[in-house]
This record gives sequence, structure tokens and C-alpha cells, in this order.
Amino acid sequence: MGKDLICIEHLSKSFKENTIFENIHLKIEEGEIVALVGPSGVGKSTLLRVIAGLEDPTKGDILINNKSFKFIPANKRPITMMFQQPLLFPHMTVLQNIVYSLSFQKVKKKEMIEKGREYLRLMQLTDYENRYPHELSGGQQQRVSLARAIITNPKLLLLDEPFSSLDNELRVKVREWVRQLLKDKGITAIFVTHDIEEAMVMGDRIAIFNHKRIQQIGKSMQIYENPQNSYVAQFYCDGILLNEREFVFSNRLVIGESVDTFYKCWKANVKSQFKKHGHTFFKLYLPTIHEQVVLRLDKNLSIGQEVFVGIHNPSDIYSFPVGDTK
Amino acid sequence: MKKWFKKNKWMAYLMPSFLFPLSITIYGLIMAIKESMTDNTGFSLQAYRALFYDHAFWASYLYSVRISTISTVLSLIIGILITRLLYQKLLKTEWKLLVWVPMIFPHFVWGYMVVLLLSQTGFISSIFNHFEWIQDFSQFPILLYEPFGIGIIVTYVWKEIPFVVLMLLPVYAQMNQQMPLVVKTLGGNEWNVFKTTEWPWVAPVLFETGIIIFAFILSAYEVPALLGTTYPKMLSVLSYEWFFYADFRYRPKAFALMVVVTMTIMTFVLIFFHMVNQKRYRMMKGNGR
Amino acid sequence: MVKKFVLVLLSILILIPVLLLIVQSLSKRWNYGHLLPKEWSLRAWDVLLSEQRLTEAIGWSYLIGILVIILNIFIGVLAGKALAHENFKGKSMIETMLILPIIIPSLAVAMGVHFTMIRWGIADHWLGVVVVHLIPTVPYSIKMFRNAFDQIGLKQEEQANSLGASKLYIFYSIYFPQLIQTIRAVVFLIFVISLSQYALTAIIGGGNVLTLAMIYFPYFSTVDDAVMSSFSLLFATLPVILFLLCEFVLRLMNPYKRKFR
Repeated sequence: MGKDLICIEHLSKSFKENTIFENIHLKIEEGEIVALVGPSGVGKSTLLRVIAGLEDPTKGDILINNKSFKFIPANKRPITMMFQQPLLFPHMTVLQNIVYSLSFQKVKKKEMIEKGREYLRLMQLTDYENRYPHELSGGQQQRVSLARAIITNPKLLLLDEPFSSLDNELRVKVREWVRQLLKDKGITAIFVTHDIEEAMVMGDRIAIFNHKRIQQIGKSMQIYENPQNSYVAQFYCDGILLNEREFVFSNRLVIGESVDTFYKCWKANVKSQFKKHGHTFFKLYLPTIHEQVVLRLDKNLSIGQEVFVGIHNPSDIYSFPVGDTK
Repeated sequence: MKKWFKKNKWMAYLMPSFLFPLSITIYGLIMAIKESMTDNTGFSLQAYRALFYDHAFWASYLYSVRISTISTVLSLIIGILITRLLYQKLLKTEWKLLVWVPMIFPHFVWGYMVVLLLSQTGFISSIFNHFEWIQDFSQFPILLYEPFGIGIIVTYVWKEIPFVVLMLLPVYAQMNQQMPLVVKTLGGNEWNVFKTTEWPWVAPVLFETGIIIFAFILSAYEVPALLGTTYPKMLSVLSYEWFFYADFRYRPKAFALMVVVTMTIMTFVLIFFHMVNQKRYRMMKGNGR
Repeated sequence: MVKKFVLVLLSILILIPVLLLIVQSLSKRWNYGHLLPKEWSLRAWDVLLSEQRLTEAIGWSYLIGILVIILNIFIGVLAGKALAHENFKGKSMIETMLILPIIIPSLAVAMGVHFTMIRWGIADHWLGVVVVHLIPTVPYSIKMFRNAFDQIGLKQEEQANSLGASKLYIFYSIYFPQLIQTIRAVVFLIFVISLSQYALTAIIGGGNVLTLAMIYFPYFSTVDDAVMSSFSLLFATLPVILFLLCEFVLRLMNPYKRKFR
């Protein structure tokens, strides 16, 4: 049995005059996790809903192993979506929630219970079998929701910011655990988040989404070192944007007292500082180009101090590849 | 065709509800209007003329409107006071059943209970007599079958207050418990609390319930038929009599009367709708989901 | 404190009339000025239950009432869901219009519709009565189901849909268990409203359709308070019995049996 291939082609969605997204292309291999990242409210959720079948696309298609699913209703697609809230059915126990999708598949009751218990064990929630959703914490509810979603082994799992309702500490713990689970089970997934760090942790590949399109897609390091355009650079990378075509990475920037040593430099104000992992980081503001940058420095700067920030070589300037516009 | 259905699912969902009560209601109303303007010779407003010249009609009209207004206002005010005071208890515990008890009995059965209690030979009068506060039952005030309609008002108020409470409870259930504290800490008193945190949500429900109650009482037949005086009669009793009168010529008059009742209700509805139909109302109505 | 006092006061005000009915119905001789009857007996209930048309009337009341309830649930669920979950042009106008049936005097409608019903052959027939009983009841059930669907929200349906459930199964497994509270209230309220209809039933049913209300009214002019009281109590027992029956059926049908708060 070959590996599954999921293709999203030319996918577009408009509401009346408003285009939410257009021309979305995505190829995902079985077992891969793609993290879809972008600011809030730009349409990532809508994209997921279209793929899930909860909304109709204006154009384009969703293919699984070359079979088109455009006209197939949501409940008949081997695609399952998980929402921001756990959305557990309040009138069912935890176990009943988990085995829900088995209950309309002609599975024997005994088998259902066994399978449900297996997933309860997986989620480390065995004691909660007969509890009701309102008795569980947010993190526990999300785990039940996840179990419910993967118990039928969907060909594609869509996760819409599933950790946004959890507090930070919990978030970090849960997401690593979720990623491991998905990998163990070999589940293909698209994971939506607005948090870059989370995207880097969760995704095998990262797709940066904004302005109605996928701006760039690739491995984390790939994007970080080779942003396609100014938007990606500003959103994802650390550095300063000189103009639409040129960018300088933070690790190329140096601080100096006088103008002479630089190939190019800018005035900078020290805005604030913080410590992390034993190092000091300074946030600097460059008024002439309206850019803000965080640099790790072992110097002792004071807030409000004026310094010069710049580069030594012309090769320190990164130019975006030609032919890619917003 | 299938695609149209899919896009306009709501139409398929709403059609049964349209088909039945709404269309029958409107159709019935139109027919009533038509009948009120027809007699042997065809189109004629003679029924209305006869109606407006009829003293019995005007006496009934004033009597009915007065009873309806008083009952409605009393029910609303007492209802909201009770809800405000007791909603926490009423929502949580078995006390809610208490509010439902009056709902078990039809209005006219409550009417009978009022008769048992308030007639001159009734229970309360009997108690008064037992404790020797009155010597004889004729000393007990006449509360039923009299021109002010106290018996009718009491019956309706007794039954409608639980209805008002049941309508208001969901509003109070959803209310933010912190808001009164916010108002108080900013310097407001109880009235400010009410006006700012409760009134915007309560008002639409209150008005709607008030209209329902007013319309119901004004046009009801059952209770006044059992408890009313011979003169003046409440409007629906009058209309009912004319409808079933041996002389068929009274029919258009019966219809005309019902049309006038409908117009009265509609006028009240429009007045209230206008008062309440500010941006606020629409905001409240559409708000919350 | 104040709350407890008011609660007790309310309980008295609500329960005293009912108690009065009970006591009255069991009294043989209750003289003026006495707090309680001198003699007790079941005579009133005997008289009541030996009324020949009583069983017939109860039967019709139940038949008509249950049909009205079923239609109400059907219409109420569909319309309530549409109003709660869909947005369309003219929605607020439709919302307002759906109240019209309880604002426009039902007497006017009954009178207006009477001739047409004669022509269609459902006047003087219980079907006509069922149809006309929908007028004062449907707006309430639509309102109540609409509120219920509002509370449940649309998201659970979407989640179930994504998990693979069909529309029918979604209704059965997701909505129905959560609607049971509302269904109970609707059954109760609608049945009482249907029972209370005298004028409507009289006009459309002619003399032919015999419901409990039709027998009650003539009785009112009798002086026999005890019998009137027992009759009045009968009116309350009918909804209660129906309610218990309904509970039984609902328990049987509910796929997820626990009562949750």
C-alpha cells in the first residue's frame, strides 16, 4: 500500500465581494504535519473549514490520492477537524464522546468500548471514563477532543489553534505531547496557529499565510534563512527590513560607536532589555527606517542610549528572490 | 431545485410554521374584515355604524380596555419585582416548580378558584366571619360580578404573574453577576443598577410579554364569560353572543367588533414598538450570540 | 430574610387556592363561617365520574391535545432551529410575524375561518379543532425551541459533522438529548393551552366535538361547589398524567440517559 498524497489545488474562497484566500496550493504526504501560521483573523480557519467541507470553495479542489472531494459533503470526507474549543458533547460521558464516530460505523458495542478505553489510556485519562465534560479541565477536554478526532484514523486531521484556550505553561507541555502522538500514529495533519514558535515546534513544514495567499512554505530553517519576500521576512525572521527588496539578518548586525567602521549604518535607540538563557537581549529602535530589532549583546547598554547599528559588508544585505511580489 | 433548497434551507424549515398558524391567522383576519363589511346588499360599512352608535359597545370597550391595561401593568410590575428578588432561588431549586403550578390550570379554572375565594360567601369571607371580623356575609365587599371587574383582574393577575416570571427568568439567568458591583463601586444606587445593567435586556422581553398579555386579556372569552357581569360585558363575550345570535344580521356586527379589537391591539403594538424600537432594542435583540 | 418571606408568601398564594379546591371537592357540608367542612365525603367525585360524557370528553381532549403537541414539536423544532442558526434577509420581520397568531384575537380568526372550514368539511370535526388549536400554541413552541437551539449553539453540529455523522444522526444523538428539557415544557404548556380552549372549540367544533372544556362551562351555572371543585381538579390531573407518560417515552427514546444540569 502506497503512501497517501493529499493535494490542495487552486483553492479559493470569496464571500460576495470579499476574497478570503485564493490560489492555495499544498501537497502533503502521509504522516506529515504542516503548520499553517499567520496573524489572527486572516482566514486560516476559513481555509481549514473549506478543506473539511464545512464551507464550499469558490474555486479549486481537494484531492486525496487523486480522488476529488470537492463535491463530497463534510461528513463523508476522511477529513476530521478539531476546533479551538474542545466542543465535547456535554450530555455524553468522556468515553461516549471518544467513541462517537464509531457509533455510526456499525461497530459492535463491545469493540467500541475497548477501542475507546485504548484511546483513554493513550491520553492518560483512564480514570475519567464515566465523567462528564464539565468535570474536566481545559487541557483534559482538549485531549478527549483529540482522541475523538483520531480514533477513526482520518486521512487528514485539521487542527484550528487547539491550544489557544490553554495557559502558556500547559500549552508547551501539551503540544509536544500531541506532536509525538500524531507522529506515533502516523497521522497527516494541518496545524493552524498564530504563534511562530508553536509552528516551528509542531510542523515538519511551515506555511506562512497572509494577504489571501500562502506566502512561503518550507522547512523551518529554510524559511528562516531564505525568506521569499518582505512580508515573510518581517513576520518570521529576525532582522531589519531596508526596503521592499532588501533585508538584513540580526546576526549580521553589529553595534558601534562611530560611523566609520560600517559599510552602512543607522542610528538606534535602546528601548528595553531582557534576559533569557543567561544572555542579555536589547530591543533597539531605528528611527530612520522605522524598524525595530532585538539583538543579543554582551555589552552594557542603558535605556535611551543612542548607538549605531550597521553592517560591515555589502554581502550582509539579503535580497529577496526576483519574481515574487505580495 | 435541490441547489435552491440547499441554499435556502431555512425556507424549508420555516414553511410548516408559516403554512399553518400564520396563514390561517392572516386568512381568518382578512375574512373577518371582509365579513364585517358585507351584508345582504354587498359592501357596506353599516355594521361599523351600528357598532359605534351602540352604547353597549362603548361601555364594553372601555370596560375591557381598562381591565386589560390594569391587569397587564400589575402583572408586569409585580412579575419583575418578584423575578428580581428571587431569581437565584427560582433558577436553581425546586422553587421553579412553584412557578409552574399555576400553569397547570386553565384560566377559567383559576377563575373558579377566585370565585371560591372572593365571593361574598367564599372562603375569605368565611374566615372573616369565623374570626368575627364581620357578622354576616353581606358585609363582605362585593368583588365579583361587579362593574369594576375586580374578580376578572385578580384572576388574570394571579395567572399571568407566573407567566411573566417564566419569561423573565432566562434573561436574568444570563445576566452578568459582576455588573451590579461595577455600578455600585462607581457610585450608583439600586435604581442605577437596574437601569444600566438590567433594563436594556429586560425591556424587550417585558414589552413583548406585555403585548401578549394585553392582547390575550382583551380578546379572551372564557374567563369573562364565567365571571363577568351582565353589563358591561367584555368585548369577546359580546361578539360571541352576536355571532351566535338567532338573527343573522348581527354577524357583521360581531365581526366588526373583533376587527376593532384587533386594531386596538395593533395600535398598542405600534406605539410600544416605536418607543422601544431604538438602536438599543435592535442591538439587544441581535446581541448575544 | 426578605427573600424567604416572599417565597413563603408566594407559596401560600399559589397553593391555597389549590388546597381549597381539594378540600372543597371532598366536603359534604361546609357551612359559612367554618374553617373546615363539617362533613367529608367522596360524593362530589362520584357525581363527576358518573357523568356519562366525561370519558368521551377526556378521550377527545387527549386525542386533540396530543396531535396538537406533536405538530407543535415538529413545527417548533424546525422553525426554532432555523431562527437560531440561520441568518437570512427579512429574518427580523419573520420573527415579528411569528408572534401574530397570539396577538390577533383567536376569536376573530375562528369566526373568520368558520365558513371556509365548513366548505372544506373540517368544521364540526375534530380535525378542524386540531388545526385551529395550533394558532394559540405554535408561537410559544417556536419561541421555546428557538431559545433552546440558541443555548446549544451551532458548533456541536459542525464538530459532529466533521466526525462523520449524518444530519439525522446528529439530530438524534446531539440535539434530541439536549432538547428534552424543552420538550417537557412544551408538552405541558401546549396541552394546557389546548385544554383551555372553549370559544375556539365551540365555534369550529360546533356541537360535535366534545372536549372537557365544553362540559365544564355548562356546569358552572350549577350551585354544586363540590362537584365544580372536583371537576376543576380533574383539569389539572390530565396534564400531569400526560406529562408522566411523556417522561416515560422520552426516557425510552433518549440515547444518552443521564440528566445533566
